[in-house]
Amino acid sequence: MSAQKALDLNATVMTPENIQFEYRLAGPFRRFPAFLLDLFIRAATLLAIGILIVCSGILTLLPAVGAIGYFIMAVGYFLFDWFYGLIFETIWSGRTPGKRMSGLRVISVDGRPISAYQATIRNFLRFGDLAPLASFQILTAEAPPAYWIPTGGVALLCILMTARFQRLGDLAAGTMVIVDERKWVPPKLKLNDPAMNPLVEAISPSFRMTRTMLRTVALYVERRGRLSPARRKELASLLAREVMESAGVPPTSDPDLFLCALYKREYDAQWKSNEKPDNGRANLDKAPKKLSEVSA
Amino acid sequence: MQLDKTAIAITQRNLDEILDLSLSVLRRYGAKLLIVAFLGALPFAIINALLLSSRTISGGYVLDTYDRAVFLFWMAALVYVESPLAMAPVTMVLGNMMFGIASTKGELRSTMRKQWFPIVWIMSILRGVIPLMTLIFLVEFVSYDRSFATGIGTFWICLLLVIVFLVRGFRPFTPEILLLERCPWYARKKRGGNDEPTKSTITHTQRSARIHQNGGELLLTTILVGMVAFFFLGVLIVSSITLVGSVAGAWSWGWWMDWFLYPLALWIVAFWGTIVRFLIYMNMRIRGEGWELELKLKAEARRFLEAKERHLV
Repeated sequence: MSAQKALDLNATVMTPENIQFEYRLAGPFRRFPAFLLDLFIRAATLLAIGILIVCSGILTLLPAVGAIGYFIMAVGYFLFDWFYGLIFETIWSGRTPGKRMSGLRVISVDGRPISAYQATIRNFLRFGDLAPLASFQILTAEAPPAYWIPTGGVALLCILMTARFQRLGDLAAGTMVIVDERKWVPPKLKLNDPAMNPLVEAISPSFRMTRTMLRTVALYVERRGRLSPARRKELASLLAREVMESAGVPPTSDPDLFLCALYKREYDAQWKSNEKPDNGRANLDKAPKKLSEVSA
Repeated sequence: MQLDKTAIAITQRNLDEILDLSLSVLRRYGAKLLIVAFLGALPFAIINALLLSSRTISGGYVLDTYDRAVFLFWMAALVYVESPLAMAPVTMVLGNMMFGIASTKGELRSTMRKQWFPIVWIMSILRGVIPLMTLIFLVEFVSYDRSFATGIGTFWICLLLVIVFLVRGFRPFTPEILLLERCPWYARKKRGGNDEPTKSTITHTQRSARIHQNGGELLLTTILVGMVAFFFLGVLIVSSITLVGSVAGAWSWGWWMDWFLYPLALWIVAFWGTIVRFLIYMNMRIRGEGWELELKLKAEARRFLEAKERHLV
């Protein structure tokens, strides 16, 4: 067990150029809201089209066109329902509206964007994922043997058996669903402790934090509120005791306050220089160039 | 405790990520955990079958709709109430596994022996296992008028379930505190008659109060996980019927569902629920004690020192 990598929701992909990417996988529970959103969008669109048809009076013409009219409507419904995912995933590089809103994306297992062929396979196998279909007879013995109740057992089983949470359609198409959070938005936190101000001023102007240190300090400041004062001090000193000297701050300073002061200095400067519509997203952290940076 | 050498990565997660992670845990450790779960659940499954046997056997196995509804409801109630106790070995194995400790039968037995009092008092009596079993036993085997007793019994069972649900909703991690942290019931007293508790001792009550601070949030999480569990149960039941129907052509709910597949589905969901509860508990600890922060701050300090040594800072 010790030789195994710690279990997490990441998938690592190695390119032919020997570059390693790490993606945050989206399992069935992360994907469920996207599925519901897409379902809602499809249903709402069909309903809107239906209302439009009724209001436009086309139905009064239907008896004239007879069965052909119903046939066209059935084919239209089929095309919309079955090609919705296919078209969006192809033109939006692996995202449907639901996935886009939920911050998800479908990619190939080798890390490349999905092709139209892959989108077709994974969307057309959706029906297979809903199997086994149960008969109405499970509700009452008198019901006709119509197998119309989807259980989703196949999808669940496939997702459970594969390390990348792939359903049957994903397995056949060689795709996986990942979390597509491109931007890390630094939290804007209010730090009002007056004892911090002398420390902010004491930090040497020449001291610069690295990008990863900025994120770590931001994370600490964001979460310190949930920690006891003793634990705060214990945790903060892990980094503060190494950095204080370089930052020109007396080593006897409070480590918790020091990290807060570092945060305040950096982020105040960023926000002041960023009084633009997106100034909440201080440009400390530009959108990562690679998806691998997403889960960093 | 070596936080960088754990079986599950130390990261603060959302509920959807925890639920997804539970499937990964099932995939990697499922076989081992299933054996432990089976051994833990088997005695309770037998007791449940015995408790509810008279209702089905006496009728020559022709259950009417009302009797079947009562049977199914009571069986679900029994499994729901018993699951933290029945899955206690799974909780212990998961806790050991998390920090790379091998679980032996002797170690599991010894933990149960050491913690016998809270296990009996909190997990068996206060959390409704023995009261529910007693109630069903009285209705099924002692009552003079069983149909009347069934009605009254169902009312009391519903009441008991609501209480157990609320207790477990606000205090979900009691099994973990008892079986993994093994906090003492009372703080030890210093020798020599001094009544002050020893400084380092955290009692079960103190630990529980600290971990269960956000009761509302925990209750909401319990409700959400319960909804997912209910959905899972539905999928398992419908899939089971479909499977039997496809293989044997018997589509209606029969004795095989009552006695085997339905309880099995309930226990599978209880098993999965135990894994989810453990992961949520770990997440609470990670959040409350800043484990993820500790790892990140240590790594950052190491990076800073390395850069300093290379004269880059």
